[in-house]
Amino acid sequence: MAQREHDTRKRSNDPASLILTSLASGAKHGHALSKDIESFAGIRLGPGSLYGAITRLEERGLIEPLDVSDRRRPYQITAAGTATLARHVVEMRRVADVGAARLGLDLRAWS
Amino acid sequence: MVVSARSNDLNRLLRWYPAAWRDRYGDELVALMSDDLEGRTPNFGYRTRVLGAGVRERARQAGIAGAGATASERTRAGSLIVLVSWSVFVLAGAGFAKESEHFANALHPNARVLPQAAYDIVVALGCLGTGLVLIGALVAMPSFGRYLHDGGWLTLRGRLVAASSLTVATIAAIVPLAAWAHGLNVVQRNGGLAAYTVAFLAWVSLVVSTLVAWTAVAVAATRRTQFSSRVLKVESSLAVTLAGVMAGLTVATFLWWWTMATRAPWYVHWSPMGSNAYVFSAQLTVTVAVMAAGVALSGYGAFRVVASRRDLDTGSGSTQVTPG
Repeated sequence: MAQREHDTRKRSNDPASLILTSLASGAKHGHALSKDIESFAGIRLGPGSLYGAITRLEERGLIEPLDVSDRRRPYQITAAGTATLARHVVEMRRVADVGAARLGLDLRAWS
Repeated sequence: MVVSARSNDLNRLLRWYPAAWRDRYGDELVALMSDDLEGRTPNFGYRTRVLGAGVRERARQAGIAGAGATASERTRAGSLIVLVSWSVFVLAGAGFAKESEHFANALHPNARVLPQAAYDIVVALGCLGTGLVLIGALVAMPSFGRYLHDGGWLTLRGRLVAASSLTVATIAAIVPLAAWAHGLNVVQRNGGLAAYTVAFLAWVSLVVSTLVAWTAVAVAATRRTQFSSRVLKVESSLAVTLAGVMAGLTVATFLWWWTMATRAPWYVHWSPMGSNAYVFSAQLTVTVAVMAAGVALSGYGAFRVVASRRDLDTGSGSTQVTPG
């Protein structure tokens, strides 16, 4: 339980969270994932980091591979992955709300 | 042709990953790198990052790092890290034994108490550590015997032959070396005679090679042998204790150095007796540095063991349901 709580408090820009967020809009292969993450998070994941995270996520059943097309294998988020991402987003939102309240920020003005 | 050469270049980067990982993800990673580079040649930084990711993947699969492997694999890997650290300590201990020869003669009888106590602690802890390693070997022996009986001998044969050959060579070499040393005086034995120094260093290289070879045998055997949960728990407890012994050895060695440096600095620096020598000693510095590196490594191994033991006790794996 403690490990799970610790994991849900991971930074919002760790590769696993970024990949799940990217796949939430549809299946993508490695290069498309990398481009999408760069566009919404401003972070360029190297191939090693990207595939390290993909390995972990697939092992945990949070994403699943689709059929290969020209050596490029797309991945899609699973139901477990969607639930995990939802919990993670809610947790991030809760922390963001507390931070914004303490700073007196109106987050709607920043979006 | 250029594309093929580039593809081969990228495929070579995959060698840093474990074979099973390459089989599953290799083609995809090469395709990603091709897309990513858009025809450019990967620079040094790019290669280094892929190399680092490959090494991390290997470490993770071996249970050395991360939480990907099963609890028993992580416990086993942590124990092996401690065992490898002990091999490092044996080398440092041999250096200490040479550097502390006849140290009591350099001290006034009233000044011997603390250095002698520190030295005795080093010897006692050295014996305790050796005992723990031997107990670990004895506990593992039945499982190892079954592994050899079930075909493991074929896998280990090459390593065992190499380690045994080196052992025979080391023992054979010490006989003429000892006979030669017997006819030399103290100065000649300690760097005064170049030929003897070269021969001695060659023998030291043989000792190091032998130790490395047997450590490789132990690591290969332990990684492949199936241990019961009970044996693994005993081995991991021994490993954690051994890590503590190594920390104690390092402290005691440093204490010995410190007490000698304040009571007989000429001995530490190999200067004429009574001279007010600077207490720095390159040999002792290397010895303590090697020990400190061994303690850091064994500390990491012990941490892995302790962190994995809870999962081992409950029989749970490494499954996590959160990202990261």
